[in-house]
Amino acid sequence: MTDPAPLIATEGLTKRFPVTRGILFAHTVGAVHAVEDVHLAVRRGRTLGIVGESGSGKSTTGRMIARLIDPTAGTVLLEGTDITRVGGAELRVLRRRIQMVFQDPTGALNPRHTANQIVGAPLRVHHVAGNRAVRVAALLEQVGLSPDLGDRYPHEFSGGQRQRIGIARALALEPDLIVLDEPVSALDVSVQAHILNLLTDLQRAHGMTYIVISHDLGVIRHLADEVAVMYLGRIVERAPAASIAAPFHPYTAALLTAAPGRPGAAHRRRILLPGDPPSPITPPSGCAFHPRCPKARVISGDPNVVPERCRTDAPPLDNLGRGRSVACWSPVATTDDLVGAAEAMSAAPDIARATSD
Amino acid sequence: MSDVLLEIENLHVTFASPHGPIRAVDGLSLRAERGATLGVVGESGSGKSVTFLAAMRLLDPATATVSGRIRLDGVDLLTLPSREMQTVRGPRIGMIFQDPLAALHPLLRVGDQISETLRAHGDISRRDASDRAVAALRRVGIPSPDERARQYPHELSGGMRQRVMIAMALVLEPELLIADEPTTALDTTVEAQILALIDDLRTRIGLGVVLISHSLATVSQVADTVAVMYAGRAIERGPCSDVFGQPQHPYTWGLLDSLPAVDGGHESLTPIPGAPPSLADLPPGCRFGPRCGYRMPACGERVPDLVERHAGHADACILPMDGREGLRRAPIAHPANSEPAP
Repeated sequence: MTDPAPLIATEGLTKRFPVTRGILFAHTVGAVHAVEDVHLAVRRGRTLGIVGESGSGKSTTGRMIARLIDPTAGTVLLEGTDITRVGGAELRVLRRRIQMVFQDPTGALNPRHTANQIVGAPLRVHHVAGNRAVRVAALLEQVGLSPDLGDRYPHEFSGGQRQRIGIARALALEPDLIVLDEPVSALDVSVQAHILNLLTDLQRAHGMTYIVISHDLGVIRHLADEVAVMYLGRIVERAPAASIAAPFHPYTAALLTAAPGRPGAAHRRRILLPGDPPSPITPPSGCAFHPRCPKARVISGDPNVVPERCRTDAPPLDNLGRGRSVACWSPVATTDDLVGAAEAMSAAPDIARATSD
Repeated sequence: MSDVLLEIENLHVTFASPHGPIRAVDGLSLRAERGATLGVVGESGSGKSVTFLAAMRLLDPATATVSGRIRLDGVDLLTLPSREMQTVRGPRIGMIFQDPLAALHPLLRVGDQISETLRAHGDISRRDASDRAVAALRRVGIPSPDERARQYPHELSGGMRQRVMIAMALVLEPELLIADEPTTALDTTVEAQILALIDDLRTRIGLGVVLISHSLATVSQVADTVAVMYAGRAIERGPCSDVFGQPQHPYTWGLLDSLPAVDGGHESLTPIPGAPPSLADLPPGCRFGPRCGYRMPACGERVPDLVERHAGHADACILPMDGREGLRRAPIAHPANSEPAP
């Protein structure tokens, strides 16, 4: 399943956030199962896209890989070395190799620092030798900003320009891996395209490795070589970007048809999933997707009935070859029957009630 | 046989600012029809939200100057006394916004918030109002509406909250629903549900809908007609399939070419060079001129009017009609391929 020599890999990566009650006598009453048993591998110079809705655990996964938060279980391997538990000087070295770009460029930049200070900060913190001013100017130029603008503060830039500053800062230490968490979600369409092209050009020029996290399948498919689809903390499907359009997991199928296509393109029939993604505090038994799954209803032939195995056993992520894997007891062969099954589910009041918490 | 419900004619909205007047809407004309969805697309600052805030008379007269006509069924809303405006806002035009959590009162049960709307607009008993609130929740597809009515906004998911907003906007049975970015804060699968709901209500009760969105893809899914806005003006408008199928304005081309396709590959995107102009300092002539790859000297002379070229399909561009399609694929020259300093 793993490539011969991935730059970065995760094994059984898991994160549970405790849920506490009370202030003075706080006690743990449960856990948010944010990420459960995630296995990933990305080769050098490639891009992995992680797609999922809010609460799917995609950002938490990215943050664990960047060592911004510590996993509850599992490991993150950088060129085969476990980086999950390194600290002190070793961690400082690690920080130079993995950088992160955030969704909200305004929140991620210190409003009291100039662009020069922001982009130069990693060089200062890590005592990088050389003329810092020259290096900062070169970085700004690389991301398409004139070095003359270096004395300005974040509020003097447009949203797209701020995201360029965030990218320049991530590039400063010449990292091996950049984790990009929703890098263009906060930007207008025409600005998005500039940033997407910039990311592609930078990768080509420096052979960098990306992990791109987004809710937008269009963005993911544009940037990524491989796509991982997450639902409620687990990877439900992995596929080369070119073949995700023929999904094996019913959730991927629904996501593909729900994502608005390019205007003017023929409209596919949408698989309208009933309800909302369930709470990760009390994930459903068995396959977490079963309460909303149209495929389970196709099998049972009844919108109110789910096959027992889907309700009791969580399906493992099975390797199907050709870089594809899926976690489903009965992978999708055709999406045609899913549209009708989803409609029948939405019309069945019990299901609508059970899935809308 | 068009059945015009809302007609906006030569609308201007200007805000006072220390940097001089900001022309947020500058000569806009649009119409929304009964039982149809008008999609209004544009990037931030294009004036799409301000236009409909002006239509609802929700702009502060102390800072915003509004001129032009906004007619609902022939009656000009801009000259209506504010008392009468209260019988329009709610009973005749409902409005929903992007963030339902900010639009709902956090300390009131959602059912009470809906019945409050009913009681503010009519002589109705507490009990009847709460029954109608539950019915309104049922109509927007909320399961167990009587239980949900007793819950607080924080107990509901984002999709449920947006359904509550729609129920509240529709409880007075308005003819027009203005939905300002109703799905932007929602997850993809939930967005699809909400769009399907709005579309279903439109066909079932003949509601006129104005869908304001930055997302061309969202608008293209449900709109009958589309208006593309840029720097306070509509630069293209027409039937949805025409505007997205045979777009005529270079800005619309640019928007469409900027989109990564869900079913596309890694090919490089063609972004629009430059950034939108400052509304306090608009360029002479065509507002899009400085960023346009097809700019001619005449473009800087006067603001081009929106001219209807084919049945219902209008654009505000002075390029000759012959061979526009060919031009789209071969821009003459891009002035600069990055955003200039503000």
